[in-house]
Amino acid sequence: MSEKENALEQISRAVQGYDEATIFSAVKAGLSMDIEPGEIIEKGIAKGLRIVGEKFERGEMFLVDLISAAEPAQKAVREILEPEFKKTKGMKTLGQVILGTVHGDIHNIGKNIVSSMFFAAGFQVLDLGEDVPAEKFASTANESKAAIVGASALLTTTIEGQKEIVESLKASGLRDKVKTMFGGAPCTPEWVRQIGGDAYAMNAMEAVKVAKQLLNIKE
Amino acid sequence: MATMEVLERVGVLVEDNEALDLLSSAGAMVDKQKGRARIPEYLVKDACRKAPSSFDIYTRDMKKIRIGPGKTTISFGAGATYVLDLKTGDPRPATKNDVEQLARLTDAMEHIELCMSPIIQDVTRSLVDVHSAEAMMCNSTKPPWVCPGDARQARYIIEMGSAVAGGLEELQKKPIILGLASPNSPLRLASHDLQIAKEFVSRKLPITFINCPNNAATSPISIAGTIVQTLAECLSMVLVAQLMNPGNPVAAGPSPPITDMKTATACFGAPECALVTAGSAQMMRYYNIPSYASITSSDSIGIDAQTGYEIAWTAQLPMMAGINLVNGIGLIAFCEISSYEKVVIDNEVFGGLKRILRGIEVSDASLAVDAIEAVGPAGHYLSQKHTREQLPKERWFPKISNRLSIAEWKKEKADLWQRARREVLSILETHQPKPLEKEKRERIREIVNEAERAAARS
Repeated sequence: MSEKENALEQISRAVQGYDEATIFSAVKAGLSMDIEPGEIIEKGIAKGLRIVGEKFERGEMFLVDLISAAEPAQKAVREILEPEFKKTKGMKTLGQVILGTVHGDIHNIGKNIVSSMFFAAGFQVLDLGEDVPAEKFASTANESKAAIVGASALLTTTIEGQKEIVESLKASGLRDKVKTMFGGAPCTPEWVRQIGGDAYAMNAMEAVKVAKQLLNIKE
Repeated sequence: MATMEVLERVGVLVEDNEALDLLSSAGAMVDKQKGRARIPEYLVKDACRKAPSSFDIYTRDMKKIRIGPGKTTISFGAGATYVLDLKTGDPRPATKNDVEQLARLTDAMEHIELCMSPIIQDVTRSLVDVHSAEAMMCNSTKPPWVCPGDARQARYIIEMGSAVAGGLEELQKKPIILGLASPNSPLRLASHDLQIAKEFVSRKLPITFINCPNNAATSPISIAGTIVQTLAECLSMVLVAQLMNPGNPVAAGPSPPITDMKTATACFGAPECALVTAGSAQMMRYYNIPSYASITSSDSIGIDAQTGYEIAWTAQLPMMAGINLVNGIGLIAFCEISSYEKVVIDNEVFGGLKRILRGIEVSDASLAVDAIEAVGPAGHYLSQKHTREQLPKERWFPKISNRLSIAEWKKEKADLWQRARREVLSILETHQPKPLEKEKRERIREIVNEAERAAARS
């Protein structure tokens, strides 16, 4: 194995080991060897996540393993690699997804799990957090090249925020440029149809499948 | 104690200045900037002393319903967005009409004492809880357990309750509604939820504090850890309530799903859920606070054997641990679907469970030595006076469980789901709850219309 291949293998193993510090140092070591950030992600991070993902599909590993690998890996991408991308070309991903919990709503665990799962599946995730106004979803979609805007709501009193997001996207002229996905306890496929959204997902696994369908990505 | 350690060392986020000030004045260590309150043990003990160890709510008929030790008070289950259509058996969005029908059905159920509501899909979204309250108040004498989505709806609903009771004072003396507010797991008393709590507590009305700790996601994966966190969250809300209104009636406890390790779905029918609720029941008794738990919600999508065993273990465990107040009747599919048939099935199970909890009577009569002697070897008991006399005490009378022979069953081959549906249809056809007086019905309608007008303006 060449030094470069070895470095990439270390990154993949670090991701499979779930330890943030180890992942960070393996990624930095790769960068210091002048390995392209894109390759670090594809052949190091994504490889490690794929291995965990495959074991998860086979029932050998569980949700905790997936999230334990995806969360620190996502952090490494955000903090170490994304700044590098600004210097070179863009990152190759399945697409960019904007996620957040709607305005007035602070429930975020479902959205956080979805965020990790999207990242593990190869999407680039821009997580806006909780209590996000509809205009922020639209303006972020405008600035970035997001393919999907996804929002979650847990309360009947905040779920209107999902409708506001669709409207905000229309007002910004973005409605045809992004796909919208919605979820959360009071959300239903009928509600999503009613507000003119593109898709509904019941849980994080389904969300990834649905997103791929929306973007015509083969499984 | 672990719970006290968490409250003192970790504390809770309290996203409301009034609550923070109350906690601070009472002696909690409050970081006002971060909104963090660390709560010493003596404050918790004090709150537990102030909170009544039991309280009463009332039916419209002024029949008393005790919430406290010695009894499990059973309620319908809230929060579903779908119902199982009675004709097709398929899930479809819940309507206001469903809430009316389900309230009527609840009214006829022997073991269900409180109404609760699915999330209505065919009314103004910001007023679903106001509409639910109207539907329940007009279609059952049993008290509605309301979970208003915000403080504004809470105010409308309390006004409606006052109208039914004959004034706020009457409502306070004999509450015909029960409120609900939730801490956010982990360890966060959000502004929105505290506002709802304030509406009830400021008017001295009874309220339940119910958390939803998602095991392994928003609470520790260990059962004990989930219980510790639940207690920390619930007791801190109880404390805030007691500081606002010392002696305010409260009940508290978990509605605890587990995060499924394959699908990330929050599942309510798992045995782990039953362990959390049973443990919480015991711990709430230790703290002298009326205990709450969610039960019977099954994770199967229709009604099948999984429904059966999940009802049984999620209900039996906390009931044997002495839980005071429960809800969940009618719920399947991770609390997303309300099923009319399951209401009847749950009611059936509770009949059997109550028999189990009555236990084994040991008395001269029940030991039956005299009867055994009277019958003697090779005799039989069916014509004995002892058998006739002990029958009502010793036996449960199932309504829809099968007791037919194989030959009789073959005539129709109706399974439990079908027999339950038949029972539902029969009840909906014949059962008429005591109607709410016309003026009160009209007053409630006025309040709903007022709410609709205000919502349209904003």
